[in-house]
Amino acid sequence: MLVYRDRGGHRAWVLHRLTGLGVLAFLCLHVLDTALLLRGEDAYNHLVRGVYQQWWFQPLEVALGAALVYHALNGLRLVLVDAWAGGVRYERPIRRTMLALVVLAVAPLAAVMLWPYLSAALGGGT
Amino acid sequence: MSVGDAARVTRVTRVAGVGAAPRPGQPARPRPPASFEFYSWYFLRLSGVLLVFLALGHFLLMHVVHSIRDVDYAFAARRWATPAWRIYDWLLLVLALLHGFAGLRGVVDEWVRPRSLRRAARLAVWGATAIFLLLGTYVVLAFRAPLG
Repeated sequence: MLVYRDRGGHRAWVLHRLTGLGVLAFLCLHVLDTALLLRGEDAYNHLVRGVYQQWWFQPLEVALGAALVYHALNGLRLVLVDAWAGGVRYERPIRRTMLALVVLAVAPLAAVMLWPYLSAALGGGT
Repeated sequence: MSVGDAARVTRVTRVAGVGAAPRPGQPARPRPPASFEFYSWYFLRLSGVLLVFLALGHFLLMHVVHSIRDVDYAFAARRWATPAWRIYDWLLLVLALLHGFAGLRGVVDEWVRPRSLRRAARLAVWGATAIFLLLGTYVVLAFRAPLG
């Protein structure tokens, strides 16, 4: 296995791989659940309501979004570091900027996705 | 060293001629032929940049513009009544599957050492790629919403 001397860079690489594998796993699941459209309305709605819309699935949805955002921004960082001559020199500030952007993007995303469920739970409503 | 990195080294060698630095009057070092792994690496980069827009766009559309609570059979049927959405979804399907499984191939090449096991793992990855591509494409093409 590759181990970089720069530990931050190594962690970024490990995370890139883990998020990639996670998103691929969901993609395969998503192809299968979409195939249920061919089995008719009841089959598809049963799955969507019984799994994807359940409260316990929401953290997983947020994790999927966070994995996508991280993998996308880190991937763009790799392109930048490779393509731009100054990329290697400013490797660390670029990486920190990327991580900050991930946090800035995921926080509101999580809030928007979880809010309906949280407000329902806190309000004791439906 | 991962396959991606191997391909990258190949590319750097091809582009910059690392270590060649021909003296004046000396013929340039011949470039190594572009391998399958080189194209695979290049495809990962190219599809990756496209997927930043396609995949994040799809996720934002489903979870921010709409919500997972809007999604059901009728929602999907309405969406796929517009051919442009089927094309978008199919493009996303193909690029994401090829990108994801190309990445997984790199992981297999790096982590699975025993030869027979590696051969089996590679075969499984190619098989899964084909199955999901065919199934996904079939669903996008074959879905017909019931009238009414």
